[in-house]
Amino acid sequence: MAPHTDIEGNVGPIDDVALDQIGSVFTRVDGLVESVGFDSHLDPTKLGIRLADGIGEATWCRFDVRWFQRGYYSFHHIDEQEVNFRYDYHPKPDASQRHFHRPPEAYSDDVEQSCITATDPMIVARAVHSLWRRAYETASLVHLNDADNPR
Amino acid sequence: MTDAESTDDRWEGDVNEAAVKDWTADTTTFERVRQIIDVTAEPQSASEIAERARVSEPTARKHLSALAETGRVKTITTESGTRYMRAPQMLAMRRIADIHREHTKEEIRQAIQDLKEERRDFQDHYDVADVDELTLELEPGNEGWGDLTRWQQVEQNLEIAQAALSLYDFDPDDSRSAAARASDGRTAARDRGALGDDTAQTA
Repeated sequence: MAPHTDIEGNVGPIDDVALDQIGSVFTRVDGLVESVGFDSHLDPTKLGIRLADGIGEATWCRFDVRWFQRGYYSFHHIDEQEVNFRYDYHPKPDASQRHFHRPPEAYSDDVEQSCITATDPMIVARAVHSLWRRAYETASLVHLNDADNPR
Repeated sequence: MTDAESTDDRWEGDVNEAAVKDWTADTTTFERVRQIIDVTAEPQSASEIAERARVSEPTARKHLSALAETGRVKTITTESGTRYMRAPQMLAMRRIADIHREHTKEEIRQAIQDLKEERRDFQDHYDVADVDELTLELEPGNEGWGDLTRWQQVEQNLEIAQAALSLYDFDPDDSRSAAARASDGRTAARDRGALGDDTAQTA
């Protein structure tokens, strides 16, 4: 019945105002953003943000973003090379609420503590974008969950 | 593809702190207070909003009062002071305008029917009357949290779709015929809802 997620807890319905803000942030900070849109207006489940290039060999990528009314979220990256990773914040037994699902599969049980500690959507969106952008510019998936930028 | 010159744009130090810095550099205090209150679904004090918006408390209070006057913010008076949250009708009207822009009446009716069916499936499957009852029954580690989230979404979608349907032909000022008269009848009747040309959207 429910779409596949590993959310275990009461997160509330989708917050489309927060998702609109996240879409605006991506459009503002990155010229590669091609399109931003909900999968449906009558039954919105996620906001898709598509970019015209991707990390390494990938020729495009997309973030499927969910933001819930109680402040929980999921930023799921997928690209042309089928590289998946996810920055999540939601109740999950046996794992930190803020967790990172590692690439390239982003399996539900392959998680580590997320480096994103921000809580409001427009700040989380900027942090996710910066982490993606560094991986894109260095063509490397190694530091996706590393808050510090080694100089 | 690697673009060597853009590495200069990369953040220094912690990505979370850098994100806050970029945000505050990019926005006015009013924009930040508005963005924060727009995603605040539980009442909070002016000082809590101020902290999240990175503004002083008097500044937050001033902008929140202005936003309350426009109807965007709801204020709640408690013994320990005023609390603020986004006005729920703001959320609803944006969704309804989007639906009116993209969907016909028939599509909305169909969606309502599908959503009601999904609700009935949940009621039968969990043997509960409504979503709140399921919330009380679930415990950490139980299966069913995904379904609970979905069911809450179904209830929200239903409320909004039903409102969108009843407002589809909403036109108290008879503005459509007025517009048609003004434009020499060149404006053909469009197949979309009354609020679909409401462009008053701010991110």
